[in-house]
Amino acid sequence: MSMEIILVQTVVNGLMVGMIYVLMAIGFTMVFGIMRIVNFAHGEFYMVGAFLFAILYGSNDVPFSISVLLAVGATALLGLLMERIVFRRFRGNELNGMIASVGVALILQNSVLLMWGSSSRTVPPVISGVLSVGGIVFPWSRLVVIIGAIVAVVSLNLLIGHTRIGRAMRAVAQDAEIAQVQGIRVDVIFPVAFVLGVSLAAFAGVLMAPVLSVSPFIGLAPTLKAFVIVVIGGLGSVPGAVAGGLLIGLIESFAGTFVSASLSEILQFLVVIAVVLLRPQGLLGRKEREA
Amino acid sequence: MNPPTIKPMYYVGVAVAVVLAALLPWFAPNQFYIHLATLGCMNLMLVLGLAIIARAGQLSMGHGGFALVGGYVSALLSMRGWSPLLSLFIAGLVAAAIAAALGWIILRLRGVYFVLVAFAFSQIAVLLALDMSFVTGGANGLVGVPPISIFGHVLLTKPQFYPFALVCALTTLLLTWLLYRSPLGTMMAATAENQRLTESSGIDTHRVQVIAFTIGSGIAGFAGALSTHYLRFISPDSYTFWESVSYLTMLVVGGRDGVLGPVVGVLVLTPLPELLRATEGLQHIIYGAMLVLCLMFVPNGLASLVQTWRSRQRVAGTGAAIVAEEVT
Amino acid sequence: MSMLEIESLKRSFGGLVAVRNVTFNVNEGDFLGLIGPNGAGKTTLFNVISGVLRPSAGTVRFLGRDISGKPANQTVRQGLSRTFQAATIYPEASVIENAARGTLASSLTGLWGGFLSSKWRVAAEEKAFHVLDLFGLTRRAALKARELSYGEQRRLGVAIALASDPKLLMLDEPVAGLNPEEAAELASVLRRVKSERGVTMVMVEHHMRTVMGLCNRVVVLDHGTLIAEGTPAEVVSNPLVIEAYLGKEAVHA
Repeated sequence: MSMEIILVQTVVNGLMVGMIYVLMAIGFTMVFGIMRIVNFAHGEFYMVGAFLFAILYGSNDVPFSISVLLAVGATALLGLLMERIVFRRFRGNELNGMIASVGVALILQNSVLLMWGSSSRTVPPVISGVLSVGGIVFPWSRLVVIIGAIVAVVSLNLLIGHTRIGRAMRAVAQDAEIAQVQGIRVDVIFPVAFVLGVSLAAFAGVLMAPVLSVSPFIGLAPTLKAFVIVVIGGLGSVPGAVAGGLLIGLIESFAGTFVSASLSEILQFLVVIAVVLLRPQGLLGRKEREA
Repeated sequence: MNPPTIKPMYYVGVAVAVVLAALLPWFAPNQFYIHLATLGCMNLMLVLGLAIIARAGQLSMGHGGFALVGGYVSALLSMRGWSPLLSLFIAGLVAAAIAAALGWIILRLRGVYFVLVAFAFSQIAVLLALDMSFVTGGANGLVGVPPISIFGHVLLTKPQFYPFALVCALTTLLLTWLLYRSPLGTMMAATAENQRLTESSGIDTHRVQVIAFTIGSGIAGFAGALSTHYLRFISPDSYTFWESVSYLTMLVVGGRDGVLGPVVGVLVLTPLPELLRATEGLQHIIYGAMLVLCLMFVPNGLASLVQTWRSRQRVAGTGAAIVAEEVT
Repeated sequence: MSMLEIESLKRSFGGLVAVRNVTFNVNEGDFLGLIGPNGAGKTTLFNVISGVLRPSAGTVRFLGRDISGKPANQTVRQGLSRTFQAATIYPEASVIENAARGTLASSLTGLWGGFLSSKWRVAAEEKAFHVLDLFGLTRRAALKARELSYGEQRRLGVAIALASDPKLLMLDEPVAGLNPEEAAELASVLRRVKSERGVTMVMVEHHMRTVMGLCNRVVVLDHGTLIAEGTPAEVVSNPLVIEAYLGKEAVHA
């Protein structure tokens, strides 16, 4: 293989992984920004989405679009349930909310393990073939992931930027108390934000299912990644999540291709420490007001 | 809290519990119970380490990472001919040194950042163990770690090892109790409750938190090493994120203040995984459910139920004293 | 002798100057009032002096030593203690424990001592009891701090600060939010602390009557600048001060 092809593939891979991380990080940062909860169960919703998709589309030949809708919808419902039962009691309580989310992660991961076993499943590619531009080939299976993720991010952006509920969410993220005084129904905004975040995670899982193999244990790594990205980009900042996600995806892809996967993890760790020390509000985050 | 005037009954209770624990090998129906008790001792040390960190107001989601480091350090040293009894302590010191360095950098920041860095650190410890296979044996881990020997007395079997584990656990328990009563422990509790106020009472709270993190992680390193010499084996899977979570579960379920909480948490939750080994997922679901339910309904842990009852008695006593004073 | 010397102190946030070029002294034995209309920069000045914020320029000297920008925990050990407006107590700890925690920095054992003996505890609680007695909280010693009334909690906050044996005590709006009765009670406690312990005090306060009744000297800030300094009587008759508080019309009318 020529260097050029390797480079292009590395970039495409980096963008694909990066976009998945972006989807994960946006949900994670929304839940933190609005509910003040570091959600350690976030990756488990990704796992549940991927698992449902693998069962519907991979094992039962349900049509693609219906599988996507069902997988994301069912996970969103699960998210709503978890918000009702667990998370809403801990909003604003950073420490206990975080611990509770770990409990939820344990429950979700091991319920899937009990129901469907620990063996990993592969999902047939949704699309095969390559796109060839000027002699360089791009596998469609990866491009689909990138395109799907971009569509999701853009629609979310429209939702946050141009609808009433989006404005309300931004207001709550800035200051829940003031938002309440202004007549925003905070108790509606919390579940909406949580379910949106969960849906993005489930959609990321669906997109990745054909590329990776699916098992009950795949949720933790994206949780850590989302956490890392959100701290790099700025806690609560959506543009920061996008920038951080792409950055981490590309670092991972390049370091993984040219050096080693572990080195890339260590590199990311050092980036986090550097950001946390030099710019604790994150690359694109705003400084928190002084108390 | 005030050191409650310790009643003789309290000492009797502690003494009875210690004697019962020490006599276990004689009345345990089979070795499995001794094994369980040994695991309990090691869990207790790990949970006490975590409790010390929590006492100063921080939460470590990477506690297992320090146990892993300790386990590897002690295994590697003893496999190169060092006395395991010595390498145990070196393991604790190495873990403590890493925690001190990491803590000095990171503990200045808000809790969430600290959680991330400790969490990421434990992940990297696992990755390094996998990656540096020329030293660590990679995914296969290190097999045939030498047993501990004390003055030529080799601790090979379960009944031989258990007393040593019990002594280690009880020593840790005693030291933790003394720490909580000392000025340093009081500063830790004050920092956790109101950092700004503690700072303006002339206490360097950052230093207090780094010291707590160092002590707690050092204990984790020691306990990880102890467990490695007991099982005679360590691998990257020995201490994953989910092990860190299980110590956190024991701490939260048992209770975060005082030394009674960790003891209760370990007693309640250590037997569970071993009894439910056949259905692996189920024990974790129970862990998760207990964690969430405890946070919702008994946020100060099961041990707090006892303390609430005791303090109710105490308040009643004080009330009576005041009434008596007013009458006279 | 000057205990605290503030020289050309300045603090800005981004482009916004909250305190500009402020210079004044606090003498030993003073009870100095720091007043000014809302947004005058009193709290910022207070935070810079007590080490919570760094100054942008200028120096703060305490007992002849430069303490500008030193963290609060160090200035306290040199004898400068302060209170906060809100959250000034340890709500879950007992009242006596609250006061005992205030003595920790001055206890002789240091960080590592006191492991095996509980002498330090006895000494700390004895000191704490003296302070509680001064503040009329002895009866409440065994209660949790959050069980106290609001006025008692404010008094406990001052008691914690006093427990560190300060030479200079800085009070951030000590009577804010108290009813007149509670305010009067706190004022009489402060007067007693002043006479019994000889502590020099600085107080930021809105409540004019408290300031006039307690302070021997007053410093007035407006828009971050020091506009007047003197005895309470001098300050209230100063036209600049009246203008700052009531607006220009009031002066001309």
